[in-house]
Amino acid sequence: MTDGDRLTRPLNPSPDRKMGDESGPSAPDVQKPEGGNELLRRMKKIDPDQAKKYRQRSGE
Amino acid sequence: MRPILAGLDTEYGFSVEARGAENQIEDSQAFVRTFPGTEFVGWDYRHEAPRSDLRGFRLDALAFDPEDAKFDAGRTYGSSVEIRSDRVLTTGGRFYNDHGHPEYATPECFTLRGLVGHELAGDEILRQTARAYEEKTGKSVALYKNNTDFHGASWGTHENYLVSRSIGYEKLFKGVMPMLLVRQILTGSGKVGSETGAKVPYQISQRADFIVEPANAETLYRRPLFNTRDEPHSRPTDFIRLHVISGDANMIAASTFRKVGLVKLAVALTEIGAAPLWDIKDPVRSFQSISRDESYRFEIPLGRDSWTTADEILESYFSAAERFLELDEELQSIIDEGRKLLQSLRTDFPSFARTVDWAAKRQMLEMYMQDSGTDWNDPALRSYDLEYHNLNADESLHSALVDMDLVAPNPKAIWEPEHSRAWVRGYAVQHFASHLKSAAWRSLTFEVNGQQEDVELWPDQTYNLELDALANVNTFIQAMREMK
Repeated sequence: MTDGDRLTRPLNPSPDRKMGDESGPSAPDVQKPEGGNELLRRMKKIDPDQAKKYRQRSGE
Repeated sequence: MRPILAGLDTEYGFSVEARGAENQIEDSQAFVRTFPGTEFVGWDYRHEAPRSDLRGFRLDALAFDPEDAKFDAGRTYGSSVEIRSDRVLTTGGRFYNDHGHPEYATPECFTLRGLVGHELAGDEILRQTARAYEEKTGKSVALYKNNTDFHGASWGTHENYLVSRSIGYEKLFKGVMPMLLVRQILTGSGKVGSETGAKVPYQISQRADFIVEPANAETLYRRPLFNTRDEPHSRPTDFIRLHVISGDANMIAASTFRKVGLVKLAVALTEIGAAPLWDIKDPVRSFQSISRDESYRFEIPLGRDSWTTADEILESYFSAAERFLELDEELQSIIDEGRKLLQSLRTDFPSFARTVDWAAKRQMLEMYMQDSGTDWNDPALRSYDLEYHNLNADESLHSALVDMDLVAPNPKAIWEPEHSRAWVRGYAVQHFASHLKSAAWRSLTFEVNGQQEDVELWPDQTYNLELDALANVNTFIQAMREMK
């Protein structure tokens, strides 16, 4: 098979297409699910400054 | 299509009680050395060449994060071998200290299910080691499966794919890079805020802030979207190891499965010259803008003043794969599930969040903000972000979401290597450690009757040894040599 056989090669889709020029998906609403109390109970045990104290060396 | 051998290397966030980043190298070294299970110490570094570049040159030196140098002021360490403290385990995997992070490299697997199971075994190996370390030192250890500390440090979760050398760098880059750019919307782990100063409440990718070049061989600093390190861990005339460093660590195993499966699709299409070609105008800027896109439109500028979306790029790989590849059940499931997820992202977010880390975490944080009346400016959000990744199931917010049936439960860990070359490595550690002198990804060296016996391990070979071959070290070595 050669590159020229492909139908899925979208190198040049609609050259006149401009960023944001059509309506697209937007961010969804996030609803509070049932059963959130267990999660919130566990969150309350967490030190709210935990991330401030979390310092790491750079890895790969 | 041929099965694509793959492996995962996970560096873990690591904190010891009353110790800091300045102690991290020595603490991680001591931590790895307390692994309580069967192990072999004697990694063979002769095949390692992190400065070799796929583009045909070798770097004089790799870049280092200048911030880390501050931690090392006035400190001296042992030799690099002592610091790394490599262990080879009966899984066929490798456990070691990498720049102050305990790291587990899974055994090489042909299947996605096997790889995911071994990655989960890595988590358990870390937990076992933490218990042993705490018992020995009396100090508690916190382990996080994430990639950032919110202060500008990042560490990696790397993927490795066996690729034919005949493809060459240019085709591999063009065929795989667009997938690395867009898969984050189905595989990212999410992060509160930014570490570059950008005003953004929440991101899809943990790594996007740290990806600053399209392609290079660096891993510690100036990290690229497409890593060009040429370290094949197999016969270099035959193979490339595609080394992917731009992905996130996943708490949800389904995301790990998807993360690797999507790249396998891109690799397989590239190998037959059928990968969709996208003229991405600025891959780095697009990687970051997708990560930070609160509209979820995921627009990507192309050449010639055109544009596309992450969804369209993913669909181009899916349709090409269905047209040109003989897909196995695992890779077909990647496509089928991927399409459903792209739809549910905008229509049924709770369903999407069941198997996608960034969405699960975002949903969790939204719940907290609704309950507490705070917003994205609340500094505590980063602590809840961090605790999503806690490896301790009693403390982890990820495990709380699983308990509440908001996130899909993970499968069980797998400990037995697949019948790849990892099986040979694991068997040798389990049964012939007294003869084993050194081990690497591509070779084992034994000492038998005073003679050194090197054995090459073939990455594309399936190892199913007959019982007779396992009788003793001599029959074992002989059988392995007859495999190719």
